[in-house]
Amino acid sequence: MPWRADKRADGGPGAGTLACERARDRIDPYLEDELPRREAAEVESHLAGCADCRAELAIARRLREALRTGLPMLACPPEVTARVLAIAREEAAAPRRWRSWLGTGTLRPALAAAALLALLLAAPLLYRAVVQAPAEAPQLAAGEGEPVYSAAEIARAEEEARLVLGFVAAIGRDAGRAVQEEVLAGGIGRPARHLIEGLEAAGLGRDPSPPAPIETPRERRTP
Amino acid sequence: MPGDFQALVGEHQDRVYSLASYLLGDREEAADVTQEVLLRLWRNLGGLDESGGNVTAWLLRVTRNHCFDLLRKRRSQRSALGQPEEPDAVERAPDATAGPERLAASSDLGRHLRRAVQELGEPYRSVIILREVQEMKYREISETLEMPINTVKVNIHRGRRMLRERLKEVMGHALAC
Repeated sequence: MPWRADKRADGGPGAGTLACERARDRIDPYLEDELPRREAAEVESHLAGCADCRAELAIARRLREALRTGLPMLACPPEVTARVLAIAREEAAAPRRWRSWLGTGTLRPALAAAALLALLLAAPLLYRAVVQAPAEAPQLAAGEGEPVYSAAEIARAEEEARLVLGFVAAIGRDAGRAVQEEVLAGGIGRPARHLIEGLEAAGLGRDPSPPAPIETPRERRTP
Repeated sequence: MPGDFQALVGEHQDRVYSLASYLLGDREEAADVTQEVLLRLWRNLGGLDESGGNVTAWLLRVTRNHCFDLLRKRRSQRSALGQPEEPDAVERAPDATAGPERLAASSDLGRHLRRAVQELGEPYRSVIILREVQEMKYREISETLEMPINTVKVNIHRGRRMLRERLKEVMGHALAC
């Protein structure tokens, strides 16, 4: 009986001894019938002579029973199931335009990340080329020191800017969504919303001042 | 929508919802997590088919990671707002749905047990939930948590011993009766 030799002089009968420690470490695998035969025999031998560890065994049995009944599997609310199936049906009926462009399987995360990176790099260049370029090469009207454009030129420039920015925004939305789903493993939207709600609750809401309007070139004054 | 997906949802929704409920201690958040995880399954169905992965293990792993993200955010949010750690999380722990389990869960032992499980650190809490609630085999837990089988076993036994110690503290001799 090697475990009995470990008993400490200062401990009560059984409790607080190394032998009891070893036995209690093995009570669960003993109950699960997972101990090698020799170790199981040692546990039984210790239990036969130690009332405290027999009480521990009784508690372990009670806990096993309580774990089976006290932690039941919970039923998913039916409205969650209905929402999931409805969204899936909707997405199946109208597949997203960019999903097929991004490929399938293992390549999709890499392509989505590359698309987002390219977008981030290209956006300032596009903005500068479309919105700012006319202002850098202005036509000066005779006798005036300010750039002037015809109404048609301004309208065309605005239309081009709208088209390009709309295109960039569409790519950005789709690429961002793909990166969130495929690369970052979800968990972005909700936590961010939680954080924003928390900050707003603490009186740290958004800046109420509206964004400054984009300046457009002045229209040519007609004589 | 493929019928396969509907069948998968039916097969796994309770597992996902239960794991999220026990980890978060909040049914509403668990329902949101369940919805997001099942939709991720829908959007990754092709990739999972190609890799031949174990859907149950994948779903529970994603659920667990999602819950950990939420718990981290919850902690940092409370910390940023100068609020104390959440002492009431366990009070919002889920109850059993019906039948004899409901009676057991509403007992003192059931209540203390849920509290003790939620107070366990990781990975003990996850392995105990997967083993006791989800009734998973060691191999399945090993696959879900990407942890060697022997480590799973050791963690389960340690987790149960911690639960015993905790329950003895709060219930004393009543536990042995």
